[in-house]
Amino acid sequence: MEWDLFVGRFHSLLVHLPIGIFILAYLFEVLLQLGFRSLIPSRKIIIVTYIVGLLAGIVAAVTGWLLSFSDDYALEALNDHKLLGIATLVVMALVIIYQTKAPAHRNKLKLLASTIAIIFTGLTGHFGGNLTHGSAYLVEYGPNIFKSDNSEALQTLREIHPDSLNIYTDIVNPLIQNKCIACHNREENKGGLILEDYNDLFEEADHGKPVLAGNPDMSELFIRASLPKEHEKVMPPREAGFGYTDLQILRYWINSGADSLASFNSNDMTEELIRLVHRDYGLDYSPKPYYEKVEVDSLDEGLLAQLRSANFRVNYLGETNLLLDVEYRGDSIGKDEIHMLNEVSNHITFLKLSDCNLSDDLLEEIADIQHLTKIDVSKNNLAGEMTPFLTKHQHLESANLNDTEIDIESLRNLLTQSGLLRVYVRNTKVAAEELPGLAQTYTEKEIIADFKFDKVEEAKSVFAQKELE
Amino acid sequence: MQDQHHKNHHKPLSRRDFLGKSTLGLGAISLSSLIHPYSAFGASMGSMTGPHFAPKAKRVIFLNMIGAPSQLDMFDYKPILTKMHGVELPNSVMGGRVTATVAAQASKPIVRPLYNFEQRGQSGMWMSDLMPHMGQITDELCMINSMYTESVQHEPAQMFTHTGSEIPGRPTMGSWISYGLGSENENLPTYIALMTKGNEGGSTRLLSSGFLPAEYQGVQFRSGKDPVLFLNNPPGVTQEIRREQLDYLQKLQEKNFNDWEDPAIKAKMSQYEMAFRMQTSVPEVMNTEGEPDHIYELYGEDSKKPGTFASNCLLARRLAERGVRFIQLYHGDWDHHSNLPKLIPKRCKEVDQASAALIMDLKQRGLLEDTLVVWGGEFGRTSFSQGQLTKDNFGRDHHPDAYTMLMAGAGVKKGLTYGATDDFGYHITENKVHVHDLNATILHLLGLDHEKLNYKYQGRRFRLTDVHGLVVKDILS
Repeated sequence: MEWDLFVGRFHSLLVHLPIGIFILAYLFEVLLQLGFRSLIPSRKIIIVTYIVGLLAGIVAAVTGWLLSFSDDYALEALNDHKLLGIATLVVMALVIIYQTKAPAHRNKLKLLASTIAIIFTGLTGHFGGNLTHGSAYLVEYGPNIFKSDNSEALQTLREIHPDSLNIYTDIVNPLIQNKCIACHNREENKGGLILEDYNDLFEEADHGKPVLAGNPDMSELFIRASLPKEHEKVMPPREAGFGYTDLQILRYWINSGADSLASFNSNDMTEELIRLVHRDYGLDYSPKPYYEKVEVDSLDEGLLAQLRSANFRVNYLGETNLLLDVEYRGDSIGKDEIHMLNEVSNHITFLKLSDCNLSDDLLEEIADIQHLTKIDVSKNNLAGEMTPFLTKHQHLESANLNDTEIDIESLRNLLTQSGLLRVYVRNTKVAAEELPGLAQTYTEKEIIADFKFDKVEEAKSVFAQKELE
Repeated sequence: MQDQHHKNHHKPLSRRDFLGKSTLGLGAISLSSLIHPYSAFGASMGSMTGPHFAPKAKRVIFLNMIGAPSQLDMFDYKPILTKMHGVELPNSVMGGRVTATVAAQASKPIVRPLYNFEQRGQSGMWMSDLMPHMGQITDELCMINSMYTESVQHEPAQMFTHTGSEIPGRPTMGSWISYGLGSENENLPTYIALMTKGNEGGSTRLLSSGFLPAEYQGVQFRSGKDPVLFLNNPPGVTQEIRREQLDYLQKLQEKNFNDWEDPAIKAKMSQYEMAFRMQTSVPEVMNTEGEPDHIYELYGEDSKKPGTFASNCLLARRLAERGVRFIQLYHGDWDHHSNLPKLIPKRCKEVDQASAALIMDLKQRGLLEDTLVVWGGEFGRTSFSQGQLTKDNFGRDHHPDAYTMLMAGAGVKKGLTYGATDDFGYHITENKVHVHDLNATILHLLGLDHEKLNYKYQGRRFRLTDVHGLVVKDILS
């Protein structure tokens, strides 16, 4: 048992007593001043009430002083409250002395003195309330003019490009400044802990190191911030703690090495974290398709012009994305065209060679297309060479093999390729009956063939249904 | 000599030539940019060079339900309406927002959804029995139940969906997209509209290129033997004669261009040539005789009758196959102020199977990889009855504050139901999507930044999304 804290915690209960009594005495005094002599026949009543209030105030102050030894409160704010509380008692004592000693006709001055004491009481109470509930509590549901705009920090985060965001500078440090620095600065360093700058995070404090890079569950900062709100060791002890998203970001940052220059990397973020960061900070880290991640050099425009004159449609994916989307538009492709294509093969990501007499022999002529993600070779008389050609391309996501001669064996081989997401096998040698089985084996992949509707019956409106009943 | 003199001293200068050539320095740049919007600043002003960033979709098929279908009977399921059928819609729900058409109506009884709703597909998306075929493909759809728009009247609201402005005069979405991305098939227009014969719904006003050059305006293809009006040669003029005419005209215009250096001359000639090529390409694409029976079966009986919505859906696929950028279908008569129980099943029967078939036909061909399909009207309808609610009849009034649009295809999440409305389908409670947001999202899917795709006209830059619009990232896959 810690008797000092036990008694101290009664402060918040006892403290309302002197406030009430002071206000009551002040009310009496005002009534007296207004001339309600029949109600307040003597000033003695007022003085006695003030004295009772003062005694109650002393009890409250003592319990408050005991409570101040706990680590629960930010020192700076606590000091304000403590000093003001003592000042209030002193002022009140002076008021009582003045009320007893001063000549009877100094009524107005007496009231003025009491008013000052009441203002002191009110201010002390307000600071005390802020300590317990946080300074935003009182006006949280009030009109906006009372509130400080704390959405500003969030707003600046929204303006940062996801790629240039720095987790420590833009999120972790502002959080620490906001939630921890009031107690853990160079002057106060409660618990021997300072969190003023980056290097402080790795200094041993009374309860261990705040941050142990790579191990959030051994990092005191993460542990204390993630404790349940009711836990006696939770940090910050009073004010609103770290949000769930902030904790997940903190965890991610410590896990990935707690580097001061670390940024988010969508490859190692959990789906949940990606969602949270998007929801709360408007930062989009959703995984990008392969063709948006690759960077290639620009091409000789002459090569593109040559392809275009040979009946290819050639487009860059975007103004800054120099991968190519290529389609052959002629009826019959030959070796010359394939060789032309090979000259830009490192830039191609979408390739459409549909309905152009593409043969197995010609397919063999095509060089490796290292960034190929989508291919359409539909409506060609292709069979044997297709699977070896397709499986060469590890980034391939979609293969349109409609109206080719692909059979079930080749399709099975093709489906073992991990990155492949969609295969089109309409009008091929793959029988429709095989497809449900394949779909069950390869749940991640879509195997798309002819679509048919289930038969539908004409629906009846609820009015028609009622008539039937 | 005489000739030379004529050339040097009487070279006709147009106003734009004069301004363009006579001013110097910065003034010249700003003036010429006023005159010729996409040459002065190059790519910084509306790209004209293709997408800004890697696109998910290369083309859009917009299935436009003119008149505003009742989302409450088809998509946005509200069981409370069934429980409270016939009860007065509480004022607290309406919040004082009532249209003038029903303001005088003494009673506003709640009407239950006319057909049973069911959760369909793995996604569990709600859809009513009115759309049994769309109900089979919910796992391909993205349903936005939180659309809202500005106007409560049909024409302004349609104009708003098309152009981002209620007042006619701005370019429509199809024109913006054609302007931004250009053509993938030089034998067909980039922007083509098909309207249901006898129930057109849309009008050519909705195909306007506004202040963009006329080559970006939508071209309506009709059913029957003359799909594009005035395209065929007049009787007695053969293909050869027409070619000869064009070649001679070409020579004259070439000379004209040398004199005036007006790019409009070139533009005009390229349009003449396009029309000539369309004389063969249009009959080819519009002739569906070669389609196998199972395809007609997929789109439904109607698809064999030219001019029906189903037949237009089949044509839309053929146009998409040929690389047409923006294909706009119109189907009218969704404006069910009264008699809704008799009318809505007819409209749904006309569009349900064909819409779903179009999406699945695109999918089985691999075209849904880079085609975006959008389905919907200009606003929604009220949960209370307009006019008297009887034992078997009622109507629903216009409701711009909450309605449903469907999307499917390239770059859109599948099986997602996005946004929500209150228990009465009256106000949006979650993830509002404004028409500007939808349009920004469509452009985004095409690789276009809706803030960059602009055009300077009468001294200021215009966009499809005006000064609004946020890409709805939540629905992007």
